[in-house]
Amino acid sequence: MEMQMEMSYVWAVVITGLVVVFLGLVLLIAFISIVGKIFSAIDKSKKNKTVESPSKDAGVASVDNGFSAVSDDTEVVAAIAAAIAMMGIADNTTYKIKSIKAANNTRPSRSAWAVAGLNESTSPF
Amino acid sequence: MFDVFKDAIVGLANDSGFMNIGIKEIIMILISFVFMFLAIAKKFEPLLLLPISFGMLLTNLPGAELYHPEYFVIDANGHIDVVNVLTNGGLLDLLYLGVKLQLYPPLIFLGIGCMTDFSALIANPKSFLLGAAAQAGIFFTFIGAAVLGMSPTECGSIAIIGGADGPTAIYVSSKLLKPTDTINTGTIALAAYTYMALVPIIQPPIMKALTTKKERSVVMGQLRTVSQTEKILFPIIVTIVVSLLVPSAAPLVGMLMLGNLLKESGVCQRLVDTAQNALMNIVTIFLGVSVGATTKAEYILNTSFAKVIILGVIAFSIGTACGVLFGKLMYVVTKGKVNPLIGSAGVSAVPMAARVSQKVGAQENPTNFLLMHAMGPNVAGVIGSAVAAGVLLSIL
Repeated sequence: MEMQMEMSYVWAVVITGLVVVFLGLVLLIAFISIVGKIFSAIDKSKKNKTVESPSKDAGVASVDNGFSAVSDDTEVVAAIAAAIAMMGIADNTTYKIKSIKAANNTRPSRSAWAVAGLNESTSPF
Repeated sequence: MFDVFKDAIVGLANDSGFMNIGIKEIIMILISFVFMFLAIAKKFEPLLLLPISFGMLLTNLPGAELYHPEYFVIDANGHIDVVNVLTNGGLLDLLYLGVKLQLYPPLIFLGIGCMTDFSALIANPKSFLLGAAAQAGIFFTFIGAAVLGMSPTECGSIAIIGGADGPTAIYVSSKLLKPTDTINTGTIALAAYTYMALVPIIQPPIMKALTTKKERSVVMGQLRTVSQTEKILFPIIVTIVVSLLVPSAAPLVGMLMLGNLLKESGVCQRLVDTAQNALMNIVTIFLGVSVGATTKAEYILNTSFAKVIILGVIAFSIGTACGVLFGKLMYVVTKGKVNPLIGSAGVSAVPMAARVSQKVGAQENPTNFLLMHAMGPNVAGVIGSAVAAGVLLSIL
C-alpha cells in the first residue's frame, strides 16, 4: 500500500511537471507569435508605403542607381560598398558602383559566408 | 633543544596528510585525475570539469580542512548557520556559500543570456514545443530514480540532469539535497557535465534509430528576419510569463533574460562585456572548485553514485528521444516541413546539441543547413529546463 501511494505521488509529480512545462511554453508561443504577427504587419505596411512613394526618399536614390531591387537592405548595400572600397585601396583603383541587384536563384544555394560559418560551427566534429 | 626539535617533527608528522590518508581518499584522488584527464586531454567541458575535478582533489587531501559538509546542515528554521561558516570555515566553505545560497547559477545564467541569440526561437516560436518535449527526460528519470528507492529530493536532483543544463542542475540539487542524502551537489554536477560533453556520442544513434532517411533529409524553409524590437520585448515577455507561472524559476529565468536584454538593448555594452567575460569566468571558477569540494569519498564511493551515472545517461537518452519523437509529430502535422532531427536539440546543451542536429542532417543531405533551425529548440530547452527546475523545487 505504501509503495502504491509513493508511486501515485511520483506519477503526480511527473504529470504536474509535464503539464506545467508545456503550459508555460505554450503561453510563451502564444505571446511571441502575437508580437511577431504585429511586427510583421508593421513591416509589411512600411514596405507598402516605400513602394507607393519612392520619390519621397531622396537620400536613398534607389530608382536612379538600381538599388530598388535590394529594397530596404541598406546594410547589405553598405557592406558591399565597404568591401569594394577596400578592394580599391588594395588595387590603388577607384571603383564606382553602378547597380546592385539580388541574384535570382531558382534553387536554394549557399553563399561562401554561409559555407564558412557552417564549417566553423561543425569543425569540432 | 633536541627534545623540542624531536617533538616538533613528530607533531608535524602526525598532523601530516601522509599519516592520515586512507584508501578511500587515495581512490578519490585517482578519480579526480581521471576527470582532469577528461577535461584536459579530451576537452570534456573543461571550463567546469577541471575546477570540479581539482576541487575533488583538494577536498580529499586529509588535514587540509578546506571544506566541512557539517557546516551546511539546515537548522530547524530552514537556514544555514552562515556566521559559523564565516567564522570557522575554510576557503572552499566560504566559496561554497555562493552555491548553497543559490547565487552562482543565476549569475552564470546572466552571462549565458548575454551570449545567447534567441532570433531562431522568436522567428519560429513552435520550437518551444520541442524544447518542452525534451524536458520529458527529466520527469521520466524521476520515475526511474523513485523505482530505485531514492528519496524525493534525490529523485529530483538526479532527474534534473536530464535537462542537460549544468547551472540548473547545481541550482536544483543545492536547494533540494540534504546532508543526510546519499548523493550531493558535487555528484550531480560531475554527472551533468560529463554527460553534456558526451552529447555528440549519446544523441546520434538515438536520432538515427527514431527517424527515417526521408525525414532526416527534410530541408526547412528560411527563417524570417526578426526585428530588434522583438528581440528586446522577448526577454521581458518570457520573464513575466514564466515568473508568474512558476515563481521558483524566477531567479534562473530572470537572470537569463536580464543578460539577454542587456545584450539586445544595445545600450549596455560594458555590462554585457563584463557579464559574459569577467563575471562569468570568476563565478565559474568559484562554482567549479567549491562544487568539486563536496565530492568527498563517502558521496562517491557508494551505490548511489552508480545509480546517478546510470540514471544520468537514461535521462539524456529519454530527453533526446522525446524531442525527436515530438519532431516526428510536427513533421506529420506540418506535412513534412519540419525536420525531426531538430527535436533532439531541445536538450539544453547549447550549442552542442544544435551542432549534432546539423551534423546528422548533413550526413543525409550535405546541402541541408539545419543549424539555425536547431538553435530554436536548443535555446528553448534552456528556458524549458529552468521551468522544469522551478516545478521540481515547488513540488519537492
